[in-house]
Amino acid sequence: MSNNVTILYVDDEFNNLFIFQKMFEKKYNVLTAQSGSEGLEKLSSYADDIIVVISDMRMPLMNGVEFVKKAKEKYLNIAYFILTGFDFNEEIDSALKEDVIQQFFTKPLDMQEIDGAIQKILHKLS
Amino acid sequence: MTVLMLLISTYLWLDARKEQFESLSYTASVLDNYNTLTFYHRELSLASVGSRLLDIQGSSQDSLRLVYARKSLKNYNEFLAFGLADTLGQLTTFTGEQEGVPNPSLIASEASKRSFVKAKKAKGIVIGEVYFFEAIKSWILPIRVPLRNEDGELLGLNTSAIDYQSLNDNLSGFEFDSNITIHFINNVFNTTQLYYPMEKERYGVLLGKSAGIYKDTSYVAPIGRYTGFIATNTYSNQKVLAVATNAGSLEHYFVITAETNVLWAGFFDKARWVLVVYLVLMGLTIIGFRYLQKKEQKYTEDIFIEKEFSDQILKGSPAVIVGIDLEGICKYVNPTAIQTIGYKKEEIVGQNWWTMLYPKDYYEQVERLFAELENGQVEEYEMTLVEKNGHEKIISWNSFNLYDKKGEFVEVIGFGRDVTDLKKAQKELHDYTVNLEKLIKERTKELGGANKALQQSNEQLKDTLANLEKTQNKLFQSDKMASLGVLVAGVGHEINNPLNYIKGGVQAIETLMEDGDPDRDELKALIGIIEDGIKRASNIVKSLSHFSRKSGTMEEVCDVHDIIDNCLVILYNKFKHKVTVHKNYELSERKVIGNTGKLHQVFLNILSNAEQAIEGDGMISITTKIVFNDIIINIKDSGKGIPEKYINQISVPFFTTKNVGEGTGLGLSIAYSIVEDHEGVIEVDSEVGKGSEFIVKLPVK
Repeated sequence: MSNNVTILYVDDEFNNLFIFQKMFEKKYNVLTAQSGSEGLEKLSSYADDIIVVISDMRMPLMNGVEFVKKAKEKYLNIAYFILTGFDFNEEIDSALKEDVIQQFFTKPLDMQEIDGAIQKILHKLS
Repeated sequence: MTVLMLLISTYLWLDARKEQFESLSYTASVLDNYNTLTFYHRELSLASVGSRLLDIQGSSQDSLRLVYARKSLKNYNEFLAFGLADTLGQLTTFTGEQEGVPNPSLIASEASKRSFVKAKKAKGIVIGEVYFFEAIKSWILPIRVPLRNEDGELLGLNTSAIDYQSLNDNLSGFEFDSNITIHFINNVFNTTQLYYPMEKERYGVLLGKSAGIYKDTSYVAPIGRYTGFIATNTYSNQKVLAVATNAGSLEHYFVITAETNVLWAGFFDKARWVLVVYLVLMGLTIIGFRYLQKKEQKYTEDIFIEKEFSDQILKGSPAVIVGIDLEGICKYVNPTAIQTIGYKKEEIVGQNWWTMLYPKDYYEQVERLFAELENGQVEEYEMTLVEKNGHEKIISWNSFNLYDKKGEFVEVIGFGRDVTDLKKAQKELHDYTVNLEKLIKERTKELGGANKALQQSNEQLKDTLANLEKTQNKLFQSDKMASLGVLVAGVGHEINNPLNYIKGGVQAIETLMEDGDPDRDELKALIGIIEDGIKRASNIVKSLSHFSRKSGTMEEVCDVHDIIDNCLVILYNKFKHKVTVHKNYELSERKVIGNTGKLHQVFLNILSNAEQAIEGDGMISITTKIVFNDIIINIKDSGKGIPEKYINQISVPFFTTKNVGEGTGLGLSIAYSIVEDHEGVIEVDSEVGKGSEFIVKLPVK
């Protein structure tokens, strides 16, 4: 079972967090946060467990990339992903180029795509 | 004329004198036929004139003595005259003691006494009572006259007597009547007079028509045995002609006057009209003379003024004025002439004008002028003279011929105008004109080319304008497209979110279903999320439909609040986490008539700009209200604001501060024109660092 695999999903909308949880809770241990800062809190608590962090792009106060950059300063071993409702933009592009994030997904989310990416990471780690 | 008048007057006077003498002669002859007696009491002399008495018998000087005189008479043997008086006029009794003397009592009758007394007191003449004088066998009328000097002092009494008998003889049928007699004496004759020398003057008394005391003034002429005098009335100064006779050895004239006041009578009668005419003529002459004198005076004054006038004109005239005689000698030059020719007055006057000013090379003009002058006078005749310092002067002449009294042509008067500068200016002007014409021709040619070019470019401009209009239309459309770009970007994400709900929800349900025993509550929640997603997506699509409308009508009913809300839906994603929107919708009536799609474009533009102006977090407040007949939509942001220098440009097409590719610069300009089409306005108020406020006013319909 991959249930001992912990992933963190950050999104400002509760509905999205709920859906995400229901999608992956059987497979992974899903942690959620409703903002960047909350995400950072969760990371500080569960950094050792968390393997993958997926963040929404547009959030108040701190957007996805900003959050990821902050997180990566402390937690280098975690794989970071962005899930955005927008098209590809410059910020995401540079984040990709600088290897801040592994990949970015677009909304509406595709469960298989995300799961594939997680599996890929797990595969790398194992 | 005066001489003539004097001659006439003299003749008439002499003629009148002649008549006087004739008159006096007549009087004398009349006197010769009447006897009168007169005596003078003071010297006791007695005289009588007339046909009967020619001699005087004197007596002593003693007063109060009877005097008598005896004389042989023509018709009587003896005549005795007598009188009695004293110096005081006291009546003294006649005495008859002397031989041959009748008894005085005869004479000194009571009546006589009475008249004597009366006469002494009287100022005038006293006519006594007629009585018969026995001595001469005649009726006597005594006439007594008091003689007084100028102070009224009584000098004596003069008594005269008229021989009534002879009077009656001569005037046959004349009956004696004292009244008639008195009348006769007073009115017909100036009778017996006593002429009395007093001091150096002689005094006399006159009876009759001109009764009074007279003194003589001048001797006139001897008339037979009488002497003519002019005597003057001592009271009235009336002059009479008196005739007197010399009383023999006694140097007394016994004056017998005939016609009184005859001295001038004839003369005046004859000369009256002549005099009147003369005086009138003299008057007229004087008046005429005075008139002529005045006229002469005025004429002289006029002449003086006229001369002064002419002199001033000559002196002050800007014209060159010269007088030249037939020999060519200059007679007159005015100051302007002197100034023009450069010669002094004394240098030119008296000299030959022509040779002086027209030297050899110029003299030909003079000959031509003479030829012209033979035909009369010249007008605006131009001649070039050489002035003293050698410069040429062009003068335009007008000439006048001057004639003397006899009508002989003596002088030419020339009025000249110095046209040297004018001619020079004319020449320059002519040159300029020629040049100008040349230039104009050249320029016209050039302009023709330029005009052609202009016409071409004008047509090009027209084309450009047409193209611009087309382009503008395209641009309007392009902004719509640009706006749509904004929309699509926003809407993409916006729609992705609800789609995320749906897709995620479905996948989550599928995952749950894999176990075969899904939690019902969880399912229910997920389905709710899916429904929410669908609802949101469909809302977005609905909002978008407003923008995609192609309707060109302006007749749609547009709900302002709906439009703004639609825009907010579309912009939701842009605003999310960034912009807090405060809505204060106060409109009761929020419908305007116009084009919904276009109004969406307006508010989308304004709201989208507001969002873009906000860096980081911000706030947009939207207030709607009605003020009078306008719907006011106030959109205020807390953005960076518009610099003042740009405020007036924001509605200018293509004006943008955004980077290339970020904005077309058309958004607001299109918004302005759309609002204008709706008969509304957009006002902007902005302050850098605080934010901007867009106020859209639309009329309620």
